Amino acid sequence: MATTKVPTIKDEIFRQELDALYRENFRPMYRAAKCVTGNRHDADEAIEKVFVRVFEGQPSRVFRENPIAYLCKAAMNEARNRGLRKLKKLMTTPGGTR
Amino acid sequence: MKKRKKMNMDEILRKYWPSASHEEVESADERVWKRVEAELDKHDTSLRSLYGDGWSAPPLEQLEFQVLTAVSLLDDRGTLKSITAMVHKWTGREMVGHVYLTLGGLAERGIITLHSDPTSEYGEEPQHRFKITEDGDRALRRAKIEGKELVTDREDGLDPR
Repeated sequence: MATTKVPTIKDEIFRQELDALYRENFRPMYRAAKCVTGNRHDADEAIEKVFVRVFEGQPSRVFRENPIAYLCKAAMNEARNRGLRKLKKLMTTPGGTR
Repeated sequence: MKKRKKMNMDEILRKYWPSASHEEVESADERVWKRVEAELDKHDTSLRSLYGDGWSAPPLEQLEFQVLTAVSLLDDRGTLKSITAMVHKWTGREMVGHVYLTLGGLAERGIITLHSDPTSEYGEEPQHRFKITEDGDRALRRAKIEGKELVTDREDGLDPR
């Protein structure tokens, strides 16, 4: 069947959409994530994770209605979860702070 | 007693929300985008969209999927007759009327194109041939990912596979 994937201009649409979304929202996301994590390394990783989730799944209703609110909230949640995971790891490691 | 000045939310945020420097945000922007792009390269996003129903390819109904698959398989030999015959094998039913209407709908949506047969002789009624477009090809790929099956409603009780 003639349905093999041939790269076309339309294949670039998604990348362009994602690029535009990223450029428009990175700054507030970064501020929100860094405020939660307190360091840039974790803020970077939180934002990366949010964008990977955006293109791995289908767009949710909340995302479609208000992308910036969705992305900032997701970045903060991800940043908070990373912080909690780190704390948990620290507490369960022998010699860690209890 | 000195009256306390009330602050609105914007003022509170400006005063207490830690802000990153312009240089820091710029460098983080580039750094994170490179990592997002590297992840993006691992995924096939050719049919994806961030908006609408999440696809950049048009959706297909079951019969449209069968008709379009027949058009794709038959390539240059796709006439109403040959397409109907192929769809008949999958549905177990003669449905030339439905196929005709479906072909019209697909052509209107730009998923297939219609050509007159150049080999028809003078005075002979030219046969129309159908060809799949790039959008049609994408629609077929989407339908496959969605798990649409070709064989449906076999009335003879035979296993559809």
